Amino acid sequence: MGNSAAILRVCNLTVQFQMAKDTVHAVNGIDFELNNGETLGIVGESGSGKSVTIKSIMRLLPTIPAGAIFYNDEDLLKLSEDRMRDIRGKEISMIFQNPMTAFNPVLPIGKQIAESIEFHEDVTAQERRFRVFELLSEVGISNPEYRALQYPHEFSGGMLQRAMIASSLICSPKIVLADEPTTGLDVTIQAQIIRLIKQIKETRQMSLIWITHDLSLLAGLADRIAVMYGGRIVEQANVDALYERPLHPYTQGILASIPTLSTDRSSLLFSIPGLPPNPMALPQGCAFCERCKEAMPICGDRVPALKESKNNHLVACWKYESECGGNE
Amino acid sequence: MADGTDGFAVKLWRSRSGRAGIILCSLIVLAAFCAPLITLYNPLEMGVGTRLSGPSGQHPMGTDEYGRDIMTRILYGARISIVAGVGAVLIASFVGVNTGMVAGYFGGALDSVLMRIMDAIISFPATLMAIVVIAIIGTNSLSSILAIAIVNIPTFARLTRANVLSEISKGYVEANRALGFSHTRIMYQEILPNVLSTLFVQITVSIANAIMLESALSFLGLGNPPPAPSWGSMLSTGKDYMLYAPTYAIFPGLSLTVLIVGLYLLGDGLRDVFDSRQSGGR
Repeated sequence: MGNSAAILRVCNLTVQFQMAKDTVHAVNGIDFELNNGETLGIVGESGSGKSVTIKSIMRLLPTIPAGAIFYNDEDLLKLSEDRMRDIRGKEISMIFQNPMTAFNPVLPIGKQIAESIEFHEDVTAQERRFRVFELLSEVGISNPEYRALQYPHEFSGGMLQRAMIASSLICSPKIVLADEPTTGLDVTIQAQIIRLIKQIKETRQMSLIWITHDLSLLAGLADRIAVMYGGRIVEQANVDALYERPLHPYTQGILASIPTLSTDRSSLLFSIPGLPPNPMALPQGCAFCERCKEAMPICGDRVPALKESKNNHLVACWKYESECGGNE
Repeated sequence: MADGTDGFAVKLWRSRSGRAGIILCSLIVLAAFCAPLITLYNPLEMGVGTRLSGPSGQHPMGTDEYGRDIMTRILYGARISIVAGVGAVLIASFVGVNTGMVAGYFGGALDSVLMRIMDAIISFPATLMAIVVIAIIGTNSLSSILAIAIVNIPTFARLTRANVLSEISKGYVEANRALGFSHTRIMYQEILPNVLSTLFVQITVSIANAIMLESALSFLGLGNPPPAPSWGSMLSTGKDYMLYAPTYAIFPGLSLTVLIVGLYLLGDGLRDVFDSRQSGGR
């Protein structure tokens, strides 16, 4: 994790939403870096704050979060709305969860993809058309001249996700944020889309943040994985290290819940007992404490910090506090 | 477009009310704008026939109290009604759609202020509101159009706002923001096309209401000043001669009815077409 290669640095990002009575603590002071050309996977269950995290990077939330997000040397959270508009789509773009709703139903697909070039670059209509066709065939849509004139409802889900990928790539962004891009798709299509994004990422030398609730999906995809729980990163490691030796009890729990071919078919699948914490009333200590088998008295009192346990393997758990260099 | 087979006009023609609406409306619009070809009289020329005569070969709808030809006056009066209705609704929809779009898109305090202004306008009965406006700006051919426009603004503002609110929560708006589009662009090039179909239906119905309101104002003597052949003022004068020359009041009333029914049918037809497109779209 050399500082020099980091293209995106998130520092102490905190997002809270003010409701009528309560405050929703969606993200509670997280730090991470995205290196140039790297794929970072962010895993977490619903409500763990992963979507809010990437929407903060794009500044798509109704409030501006606290903390800092450095893209190169600019703090995205301090930029003017005009400058931010230049960055969105051109420098950092996003692939959305549900391609069915992410397209405007009344405009042809080709026009919608071309729109962002129109907005960000000064090129002729002909060149725009050419680039749309080229990109559509690159993402595996055959007969692009014909398909570009069709409307979203004439596309299948997988094809729409391909078109969505095309629209996020059209201005050659440096960073792509993928928000569960395969959730709504069939498993076979999922595999195709993952392969496609991976391949495009390599040929175009982009950096990628991939959000998912499915840890197994990241195995062949991510370089590094951050596990989020209750609005905090609880573990962060290289993909192999995380699978081989997960440190946090939560990560261990998720990995144990994934059925394998050797799982005894007569036994019940493993699941983590309990429910995820209520973001309106987070516990005082570690958010996972209530569901943790190895909880200690200190876990309920204070939140453990994310610390390096050994070579680039970060974990936030009191269990490893002594290994990391001593109790207070 | 949904099935990729039939155009919009074909579908509208196929719906029964749409077809009836097109026929009735185009009949009246054509008659109004071809008036000089249909009748040889001048709508303002007095004494072209005996006063208050009933329908005859020379004057198919009879003559009025100054001996003017009623059919001629109805034909030219249609122009006034159509121009007033369409003009007022164009102004109202322009102002209303923009207001509703801005209010719905940005929300917050701006939304509250704009919509409370709309509520204030809508809280007066339409005719009363129009009379107040005319009382302030005076009586001429433009003032009634303006008054009718003001009365119609809230309808468009509220309709647009409601539709924008439902569109804004859809994924494509967020996706557009993520692509770096400006607010103006998202509002007018992305959201507006999704709202247009509802607006078109409202526009036809509003034109009908505006024409009715224009006639009501003329009936009360607040529309186009006297010599002008307005349907409402013809009705108003005609009612005084109801016993001697019943056709005087009947024909302007009948024309008004036909035009309004035609516009409502057209609105129904449009709604059918847009609905079928929406349900057949998936």
